[in-house]
Amino acid sequence: MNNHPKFVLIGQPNSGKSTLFNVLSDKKANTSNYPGTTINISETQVNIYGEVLTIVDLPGVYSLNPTYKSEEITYDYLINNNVDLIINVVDASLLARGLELSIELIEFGLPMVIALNMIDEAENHGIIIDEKKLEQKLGVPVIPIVSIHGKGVKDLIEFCRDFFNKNDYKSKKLEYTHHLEVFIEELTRKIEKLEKGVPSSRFYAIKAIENNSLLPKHIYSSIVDLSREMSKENSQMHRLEPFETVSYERHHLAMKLSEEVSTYTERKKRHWLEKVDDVLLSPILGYFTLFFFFLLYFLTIFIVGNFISSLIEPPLTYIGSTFDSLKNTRPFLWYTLNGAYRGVYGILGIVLPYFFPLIFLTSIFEDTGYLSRVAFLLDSLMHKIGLHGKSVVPFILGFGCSVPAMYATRTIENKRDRMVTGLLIPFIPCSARITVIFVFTAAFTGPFWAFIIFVFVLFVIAINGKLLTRFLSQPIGLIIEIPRLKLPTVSNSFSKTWMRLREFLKEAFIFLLLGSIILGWIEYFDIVKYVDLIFAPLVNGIMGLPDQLGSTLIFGFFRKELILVMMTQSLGVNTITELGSMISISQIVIFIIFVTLYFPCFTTFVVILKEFGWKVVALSSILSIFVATLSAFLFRLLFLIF
Amino acid sequence: MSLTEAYPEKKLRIVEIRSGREARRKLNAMGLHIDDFIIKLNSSKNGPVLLKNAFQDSQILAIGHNLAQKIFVEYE
Repeated sequence: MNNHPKFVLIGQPNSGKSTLFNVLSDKKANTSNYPGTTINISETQVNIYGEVLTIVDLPGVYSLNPTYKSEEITYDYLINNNVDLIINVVDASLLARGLELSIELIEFGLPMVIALNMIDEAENHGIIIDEKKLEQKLGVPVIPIVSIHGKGVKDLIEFCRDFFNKNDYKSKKLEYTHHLEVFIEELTRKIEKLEKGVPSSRFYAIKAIENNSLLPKHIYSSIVDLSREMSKENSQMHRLEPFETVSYERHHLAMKLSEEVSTYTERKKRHWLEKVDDVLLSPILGYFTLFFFFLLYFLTIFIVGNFISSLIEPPLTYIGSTFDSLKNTRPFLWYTLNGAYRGVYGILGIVLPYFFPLIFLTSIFEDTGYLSRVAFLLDSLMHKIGLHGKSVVPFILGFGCSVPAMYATRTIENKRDRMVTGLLIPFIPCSARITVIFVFTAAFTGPFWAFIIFVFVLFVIAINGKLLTRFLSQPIGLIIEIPRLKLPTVSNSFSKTWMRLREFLKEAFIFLLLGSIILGWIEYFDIVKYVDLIFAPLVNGIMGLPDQLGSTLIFGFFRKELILVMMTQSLGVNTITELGSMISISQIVIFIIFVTLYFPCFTTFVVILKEFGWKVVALSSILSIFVATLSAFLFRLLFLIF
Repeated sequence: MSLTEAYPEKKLRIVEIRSGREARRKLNAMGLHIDDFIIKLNSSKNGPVLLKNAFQDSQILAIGHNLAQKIFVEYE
């Protein structure tokens, strides 16, 4: 904890808060052109002309009546922290909508400044805003900025510096229509007797009508009867629910303010990116572009991943050979070291080469704003499996690695859709499982079976999605903002890639390292044969595979690609191709099917636990083992029949 | 008529939103209310509807087909 003055950045999604945060500080916040990207709270200390301030970047919110997880985070932060100043970032090209949040923030009662961002964009759309007039109307300082170019940021910094010395602004009371104002006044008077300070009693009075579940218990219990009575009266008068009346009025207040301070001129020529957007969103060309986009996306990841892997593997292999002599002299140490080595090799040699291009391309992909377009284009397809367009993005990321895919589910605001998406992601073959599929099919069956396996896996995902969502309530459907298309900046993409790599390494490295050392000990103490015995009913009884493959499944839980190595060891052969003499092609296909679908890997397991809790981990584990066993058995039956 | 039935590129006024409470809350939060003027941008026979506010043309929203069927509009 520090005692520096705390200034928080609050704004609607895509208003440029995180970009402003990056300009104000050295620390890089995750900026993206996809609504809801800032899920975490970023905090940094900045020294402004000798004064140390804490600047906090809060998740984007459309209103202070939370409908998203990210909005809850921001609301809770505002309520529970001592904030000195709100820097309300408003997209000038969407002034009316942005002012709806500004009005709520003014009602909240904290000192505030409006950073009127993207004024250049507003001008491109033919909107000239009189910021002085806006300042007078709201009673809140308004500073025009273009955060991406740093324009106006100096003025904002100077305002922050002078804030404590000469903050003589007093925000105006923005009045609603008479009938609503009567209710608010009466509630305010009652709340004033219970609590004073921030949030203001007026803010709580409005929330009492809008959404009384947001009120502190002591206020709620004292005014609940009055609040209900007013809500009832209001509903009879307007034939709208109370939250709609308040939202409607605030909307009109914001529209009126926006009209009063804006001058509309002829908009400038359409930007070339808007013309590109017409193509990306068009019914035929949009899907055509989408197909080529994905093709390029995956090809790039595989080509770059292979290239990086080929560079990293030789030195890593050399390092592995340096302690070979210990195998006979000090076997326990060798098994421990070798286990740790395998862990490091897995991260540096196998996961990172694919993970790096994946997250770099995804960062670029996010910055352009194309993610929302993909969600729009594939919404109808996703409805067929009971979800909607917002689940597409985590699914796409799942083909690279389930870990970033799980994190990407944070952008799905609906709990039901988020959980179902989280349960389906482990079925999507990640780069490690794709490697297993390709290695086996290339060695034994040819590309036909690779194709069959992929089609089958997609079928499994569709069936599971349909079944899982059948028992849950219907979602509200897709409502997504399509942000402006933007050209990504390489520096932002690199810094984001670095941040995500660091986050992944911080969370996964220690688990993978320890897990791999334990695997080394399992080998040393020859526990493998007992593991095989435990798994025999599943491996031999149901799938018809040699008992020795049981232990490979344990290794596969830690890292799927380890299966390739452990399978040759278990069956006592040196190369993958020699496996052909030990098991049949049908057995290989059955094994691949099981390995592709069973259990999420250890790292994913940890991330699911962190993101969704143990109940979803348990459900995901049971579901994936059941589906994998059933699918493998089904293939066994098919091979027996045909 | 429902939003899905309206012709694209015409100025429309939202007259009723017959969706559930959560969807109405979300639509409100995204800046869509009864009496707002919007312009539908695509034909949306089966898929989601693209629309923009008639006065804030830099904001485009995509709304799922089923939900769009519950939003009723009239031509201005």
